[in-house]
Amino acid sequence: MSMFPIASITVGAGGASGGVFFNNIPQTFTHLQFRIFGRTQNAGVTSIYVPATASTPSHYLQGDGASVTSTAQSGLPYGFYGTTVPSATSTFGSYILDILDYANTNKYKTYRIVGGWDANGSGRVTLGSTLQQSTSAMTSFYFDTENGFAQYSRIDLYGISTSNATGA
Amino acid sequence: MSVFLQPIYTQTVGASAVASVTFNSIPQGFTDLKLVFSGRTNASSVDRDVPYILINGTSVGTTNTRLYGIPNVANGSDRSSGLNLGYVSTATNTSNTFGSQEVYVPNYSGANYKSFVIDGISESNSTTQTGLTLVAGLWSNTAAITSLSIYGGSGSWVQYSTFTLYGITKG
Repeated sequence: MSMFPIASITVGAGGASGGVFFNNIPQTFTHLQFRIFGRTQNAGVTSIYVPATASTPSHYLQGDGASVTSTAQSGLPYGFYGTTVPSATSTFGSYILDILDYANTNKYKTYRIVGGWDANGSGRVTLGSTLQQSTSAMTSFYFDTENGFAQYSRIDLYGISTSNATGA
Repeated sequence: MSVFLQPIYTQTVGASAVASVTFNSIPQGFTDLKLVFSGRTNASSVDRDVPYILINGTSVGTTNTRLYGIPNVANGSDRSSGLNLGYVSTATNTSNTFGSQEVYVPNYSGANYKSFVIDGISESNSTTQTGLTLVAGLWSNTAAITSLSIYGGSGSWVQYSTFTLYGITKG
């Protein structure tokens, strides 16, 4: 077995206006994977927020049912600019976020996310990335969105291990 | 009880860069394969590298269709021969920065042609250097996949690049 559930957070009644936090992430795995099922309490579509600094760049490749765009953004206090969740009733975005080598102190941390949502008349499908320019091991993480995630949003965290065999 | 996601092999590039990473003698007892890697090449002439895979030591019969985005530079979709993967970071990118990628191979032991689905990104603190890619690949061969060699493209894989091959078992 190499994929282990670490934690799961489901947003309760009233939403999560303060964000969804994962603290004390174990350092015993090689990779992390978050699975995000999210809806915003905001009036419209909003970006997913993750840990970032002013120098954190975000990039995405996105289709909205009519066109394809790719965009770069930096200087925002959050990552995943343009990787969004919807606000339509009972409609949730679904994403898988991988953070490889999250505890490796020789590497900056690259966040890779793929997913999207459809709201019966609108939608977005996105491959996105964010670069956290820190070599520190990642011990905590959070998610937020404008006005917070709505009730029934759920984020699961898994730890993934690797092999001692090389196959070389 | 079978294991859903089983790590088969892991390789980490040491101090000397390597042109390729090869997984030999891939066990045939799983349903699907999944390759995950965090890679950077030493290419200094390109802002993003395009790695590729040789299957059982050959590129014969491999083709791919891509959807790509290079923010503020270009978007598009194209098709070519070879099993090209998604973009990875290079020597021109921000130090200590690596691309992130997943390659999924269903029915790798089956008697049909082999399909690949890939999502990969290169990163850099830049508004023009990065690339994001979704790829559908094909090996038009009915042989079982017993080895995979991952080449860096224009450059060689640098230190701390990591590659892990997983076997996935269906329910």
